Amino acid sequence: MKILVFAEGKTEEKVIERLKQFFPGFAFQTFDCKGKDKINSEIVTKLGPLVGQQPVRALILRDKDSGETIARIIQSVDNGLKGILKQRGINTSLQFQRVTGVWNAFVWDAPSIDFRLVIHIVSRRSLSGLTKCTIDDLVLQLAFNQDVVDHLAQRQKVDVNGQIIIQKVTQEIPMLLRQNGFPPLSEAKDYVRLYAAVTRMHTSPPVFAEVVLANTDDHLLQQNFASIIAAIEALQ
Amino acid sequence: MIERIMIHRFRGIRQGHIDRLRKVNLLIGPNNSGKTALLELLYLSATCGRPAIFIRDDLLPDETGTLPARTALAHDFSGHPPFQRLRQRHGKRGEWQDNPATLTRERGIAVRLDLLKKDVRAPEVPWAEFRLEPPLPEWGEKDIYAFEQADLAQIALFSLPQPKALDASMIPPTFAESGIQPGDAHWYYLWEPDWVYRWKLQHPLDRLAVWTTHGSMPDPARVMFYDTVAASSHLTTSFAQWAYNTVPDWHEHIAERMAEIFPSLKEATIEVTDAPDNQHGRTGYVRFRGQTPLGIDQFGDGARHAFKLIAHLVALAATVDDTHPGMVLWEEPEVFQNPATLGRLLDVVVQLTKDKPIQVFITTQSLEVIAYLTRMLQHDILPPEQTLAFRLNLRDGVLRSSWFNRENLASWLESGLDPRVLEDIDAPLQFQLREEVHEDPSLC
Repeated sequence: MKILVFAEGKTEEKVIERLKQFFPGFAFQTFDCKGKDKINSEIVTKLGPLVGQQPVRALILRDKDSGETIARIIQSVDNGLKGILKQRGINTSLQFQRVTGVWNAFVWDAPSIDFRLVIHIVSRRSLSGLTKCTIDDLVLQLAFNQDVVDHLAQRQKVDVNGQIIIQKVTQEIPMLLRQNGFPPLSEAKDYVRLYAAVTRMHTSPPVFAEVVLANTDDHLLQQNFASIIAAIEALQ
Repeated sequence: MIERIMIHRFRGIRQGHIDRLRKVNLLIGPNNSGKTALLELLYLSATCGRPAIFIRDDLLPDETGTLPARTALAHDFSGHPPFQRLRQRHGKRGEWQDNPATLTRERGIAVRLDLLKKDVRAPEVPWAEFRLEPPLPEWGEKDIYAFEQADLAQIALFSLPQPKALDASMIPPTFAESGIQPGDAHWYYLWEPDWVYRWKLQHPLDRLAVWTTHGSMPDPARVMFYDTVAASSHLTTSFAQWAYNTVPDWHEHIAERMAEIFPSLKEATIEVTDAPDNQHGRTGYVRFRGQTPLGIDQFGDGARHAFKLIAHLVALAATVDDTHPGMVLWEEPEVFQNPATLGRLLDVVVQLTKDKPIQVFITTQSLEVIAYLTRMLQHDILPPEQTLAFRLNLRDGVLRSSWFNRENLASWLESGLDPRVLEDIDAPLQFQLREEVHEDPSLC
């Protein structure tokens, strides 16, 4: 069974790539929708020809931007789904249901056409004061783990204690910026870039995520991404 | 324009329908998914243009016992007898031994359906016998519609164009369930057993292939079926003579289009004359100034294929109008073609048919064909509202179809999804349509 994953960006692709080991027998294909605004049009164009023709399993990975609510995000995806079904002449009045045991994943299941879609909404910030909840927050959360940061420092040949790296990234550098009149850092991506610079990674957030995920053990990975794993399980 | 087809037991299709047909229709899907069957069904439907009167004596005097009908034209646009041509495609070159049709005294055709019943376990035939009688000629006019003995081998179906009423025995149960009214559609009945889905016989009508087409039909004399058989055959003399006499500057137009497809032919002229070695039919000869003409069949297969297609299509495009719309059925354009040539060939075909009342059906296994047509859609060379791709799927005899519009096609191809295969396969090559370079903010 193939799970089609619709993501806002490339970082999610890296996350799915790492998590797929927990789902043997499933194939994953991730689409970078290049922002949340295109997710609906992507599900309409990609899923439309499949609906009613073969089993469809789809996962939408959404961030929660400032001012957005879970209800509004679900409503937006629901509108996209209704668009597909109307276009394909399929009548159904199904609603999203919360995935059992997870408060930020919701499933839409239409057994009559063998179509199940789950939406996962990141609802955790890695640091207080951030305006959005994004996939980068989940990656950053991992990167702040003592074992992970020590691994990364060693890998990058940065001869500094992991705790000090975290302190520099989360407190000292942001404070220095603020003291010099720079606006406060507001997104996890900003901290990811700082982290990458401090550890001499010279890379983009998706590649940073790939490196962090590769240096994380399975147990921690399952803990950190428990809600995404539950979302995928809801598609089985 | 045909907009919808409902099918009961045609070839490998036990039942199914296809909706939303457009001016340009691309049929894709795995092998044995019904693509060619659909082309053949369209061909048989569209060439049903010979007037007749359908008579079922067992229903008379009810009005459903005598209905205006059509049956196969003696020759299609290219000069081939339609049914015989399809039989030959399937390796049936001889006479139909158990043909249940005979010539009546009134020069009609009587068909004994009860003679089809060989298997005692099979259900009864839907009715024992019917006749197709020629319409009476006007006083003093020649009786051009009277059937000849030779017609018996050419005729295995009839159509009833939007009949006012039909006896219940002539309506497949699935059609009745879907609520089709007789007057909504053209109804087709085909009795040659090799063309009828042969398993799961339950209902008397299961002994026949029955289908309906919805929407307006093309002029039966302007239906062009182009396949590899056509590509490797000479043009018929009747077609070549007709085209030469009817289409202004036919040779020049062929040469012009061929030069668009094969730039090396830019300085060449083209003539269509007798095939060499006293063979039947006509063929093309390419002549460069000061040189002896070279038969098109001396060229590679790609050029031969393109020439025969273009020779027909130029003539078709020049002779259709709103009252005589045409239809092109084109099987696998990719055959023999280099990708660059294929792109130019598709471009020429689209240019020739674009502003003409010609409905086009193309089957393909080629991702390149899909990608070329998608690019034409993206650039509005093909009108998006008049074009759809259909992925066909045939499972347990049930035909399903899923349509792809411009947005679906572009989105799938740009993501490396393959509309031809929905299952997960380990293909050694991946094809991606790239129209523009996207700025990726996440990588900045």
